[in-house]
Amino acid sequence: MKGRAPKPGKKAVKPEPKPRPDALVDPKTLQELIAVFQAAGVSDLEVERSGLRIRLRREGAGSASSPVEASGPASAAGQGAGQPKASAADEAAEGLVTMRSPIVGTFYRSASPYAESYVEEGAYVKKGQVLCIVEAMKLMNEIESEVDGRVVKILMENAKPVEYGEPLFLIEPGAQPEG
Amino acid sequence: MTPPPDSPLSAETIRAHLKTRQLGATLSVHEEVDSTNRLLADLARAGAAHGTVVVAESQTAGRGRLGRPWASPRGLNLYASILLTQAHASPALTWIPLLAAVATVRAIRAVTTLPVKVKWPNDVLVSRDGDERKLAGILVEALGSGQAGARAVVIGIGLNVNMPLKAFSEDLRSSATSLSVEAGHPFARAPLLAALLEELERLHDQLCNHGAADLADAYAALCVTLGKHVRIELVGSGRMEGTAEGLAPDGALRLRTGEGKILEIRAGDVVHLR
Repeated sequence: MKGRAPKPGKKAVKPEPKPRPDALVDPKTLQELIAVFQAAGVSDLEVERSGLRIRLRREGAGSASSPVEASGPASAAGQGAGQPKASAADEAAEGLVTMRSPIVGTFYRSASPYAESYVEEGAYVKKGQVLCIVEAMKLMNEIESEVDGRVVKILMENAKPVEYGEPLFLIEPGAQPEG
Repeated sequence: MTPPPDSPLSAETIRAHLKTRQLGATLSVHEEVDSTNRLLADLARAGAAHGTVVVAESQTAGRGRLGRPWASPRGLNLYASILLTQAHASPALTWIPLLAAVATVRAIRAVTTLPVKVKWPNDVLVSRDGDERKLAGILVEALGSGQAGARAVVIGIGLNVNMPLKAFSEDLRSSATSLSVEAGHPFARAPLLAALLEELERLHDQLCNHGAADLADAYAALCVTLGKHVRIELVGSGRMEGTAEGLAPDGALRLRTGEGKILEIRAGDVVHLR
């Protein structure tokens, strides 16, 4: 179960950000902010200074079933020049499971070029369900999902080389189809 | 109607020749299946034991890498899949396809003096004066691959034994062959399969207990790719050329390019240029 981050916090708290005179977009500052955000165990953090606003939010915190969204600030995530764009690694730290390649090889999304893909983004998968194949030395490795959940993102293109430990899929654990 | 070149396979006739401890302890012979690998993978998911072997007289959807079809006419050849469920860490895992090729060559060489070789990674061919014809195809599928290795490995082997040249589709006649075409006489399949299972078991035991060093040596001695100028055709449009210099510790092919760079190749089709 590598790559699983702690569960999102239940309450939206806004810790006082340390005043920093320098620009908020400075990557180092951003890293520190993310560290504060993670250490606080909250699901939503907003920092504003000199008209520049940065909002950090855990994936899943904004779902309809979450009380956070209702009581949280207005959905203005897209505003503010310093809005951090979450990279794959950042997203993984936000409660998603990262499925990584266990082997150096070639990534395939289907059993053959003519077959349908095992999964698409948005698909709900079961633990043990085959997500992809990584081929090395004609050894076709079926990579299975480590969890029940929803495929949030497919991080590799079909038929491309992958390295050992390279992230392949982001999965939101526990997500279930509605109905 | 000419009589079949070999009597039908049965678990009894195979067992009569079998000297293995585990491989083939559970053995089933089927008249017809879609694919022995597909069937055995399903059995593996249902908890089949290490060493379970599935054999078919014919396959309706025999396949190789990337879903490529494998011609599987009835009663002529060997179509077998072997299940290994012992834990395989990643370094040993990638040697399994090469191990299967070595086992296949050794089993064939026990019954004939044909010049049987391996093209990297695991095509088994008859190689004569630069003319290479494929004799056997091997498809290895690892189930439940994760950071710790694979839960189970299915080795599928299709070996052309008594298939006459006219039974091959036209596009295969210049590149494929069978033991009987090469040797000029039919072969009994049951002892050949028994020998194959024995070689697989021996090599697998050795790999699990002592690592890949001996296997790497045995493989290198049989591999016609090493030392050759080759083209690697990657899935999609990529291709590269160079000299096949040797093997990496995981069995990857070390390719020296024209610029002197060393690349490690782990996927793609190899074309021997000279």
